[in-house]
Amino acid sequence: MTIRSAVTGHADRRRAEFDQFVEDSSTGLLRTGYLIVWDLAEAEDLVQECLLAVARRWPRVRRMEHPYAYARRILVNLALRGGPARSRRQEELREAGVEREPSDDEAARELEDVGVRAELLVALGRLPPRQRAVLVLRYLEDLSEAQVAEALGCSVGTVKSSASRGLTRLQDELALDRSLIAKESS
Amino acid sequence: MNDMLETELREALTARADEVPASAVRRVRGRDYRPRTRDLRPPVAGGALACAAAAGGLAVALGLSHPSPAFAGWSAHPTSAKPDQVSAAGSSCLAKLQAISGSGADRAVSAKSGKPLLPPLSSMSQVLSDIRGPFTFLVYANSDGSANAACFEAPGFTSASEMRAAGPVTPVAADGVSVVRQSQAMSQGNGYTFIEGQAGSGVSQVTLNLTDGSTVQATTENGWFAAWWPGSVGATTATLTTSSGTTTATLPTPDLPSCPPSPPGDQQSTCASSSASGSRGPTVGMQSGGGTTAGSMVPMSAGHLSLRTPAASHHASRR
Repeated sequence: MTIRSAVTGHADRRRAEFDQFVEDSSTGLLRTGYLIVWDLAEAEDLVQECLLAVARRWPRVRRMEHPYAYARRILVNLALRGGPARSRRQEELREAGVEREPSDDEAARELEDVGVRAELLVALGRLPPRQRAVLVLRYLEDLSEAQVAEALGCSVGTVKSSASRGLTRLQDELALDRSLIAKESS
Repeated sequence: MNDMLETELREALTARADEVPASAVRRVRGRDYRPRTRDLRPPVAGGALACAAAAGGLAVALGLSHPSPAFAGWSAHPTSAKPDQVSAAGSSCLAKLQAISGSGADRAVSAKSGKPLLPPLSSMSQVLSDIRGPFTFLVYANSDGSANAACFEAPGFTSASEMRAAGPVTPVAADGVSVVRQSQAMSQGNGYTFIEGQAGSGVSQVTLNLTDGSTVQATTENGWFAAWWPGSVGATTATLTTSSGTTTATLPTPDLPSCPPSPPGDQQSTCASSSASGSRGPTVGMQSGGGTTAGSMVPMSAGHLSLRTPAASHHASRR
């Protein structure tokens, strides 16, 4: 075997490894990204950016014990760092009328029909992205608080407080929705 | 109570994650993420963005000094279109936009009502075609400019994106411009930056001043302007030509993505930027009044386009 063919073979192996990584990780990254940014198109963009970044560092990333955890960290970082403009637009969208109008009978009837899961999803969608990210990593990916802290680049204490605040806010939102249903029904 | 909530939360998150369609996964897997260099090494020019800890967070980028061969034929000034170049690009772009506009699970919907977040648009019009050698950049918009789509057509490659302004669109001043977005994207592994926006009725020419000192002349048509250039250098000002002379307008700072964390030991980290969505910036101009000129617009097929959420600046590409 010549030196040239050995080098070529090595590069081919790395490419094959990376292709396999994309195959194995894309579903998980997309699910996580979708739940953090709450928008499929944006999640696709983020995952593509994330995989581009991983590709550029692949010679190092492939030697890591958990390449997926590294990719997930990039994804979360991209999702949250790109947040200000996104959050602003989402906030403006809410103001533009996406939020519920309690006086609307039809909307109230629709609301009455939805189950706890749908209410929870609505409430989740209202959470700030960072709080939602904590809950997604904790309860969808079943990461420990320490792993969530690592993924978010913050302390375990911050994760605990964010998770607690997120859960409290979800509870409050659910209670509010249910009281509105009761009010409309009475 | 928390245990029950946590259980419900797990189920809700799983249900929501299960909404991700297989087509979306296929699209993500279908892209070629490998740098066009040997051994998956980071590219050293064109599209690479050095992460600089400059005040204000601005990044220093490599730009036009060594444009990628992939963009051979690109010109800093618009060029004339070859016969059928615009119509051919328009067909490809329309097909791409239809493909990414999505329907059913592919389309952004309200988590609460399950209905599309945006009202369906029955028609969009092509408002601008920017030609630079073999490359065609098309801009589509609705009548009030609150929703728009952009499409980049290169030989063997089409990339499209669409977005909508979050709030009411402020009329652009007669002698000013309003940036809809300045974003970065990838074409066959090579980064490029594009800008699009509305130009006041009195603006006859828009020249973009890039942070590396180079300039790019935008195409100005129908009250819109647009341009693109290889690399990730942003435009921070524009020289506007009006009947009374030229003025310099400050453009909104591009919303460039932050560098992702580097792996341990990666001391020479470069941060490639494949896309960055800018929000609708403030109207740039010295005087109030004026408005968006309607001009002649080429209608697209009615009922084929619907835009995503304001937050969604969706890119899709095909090689």
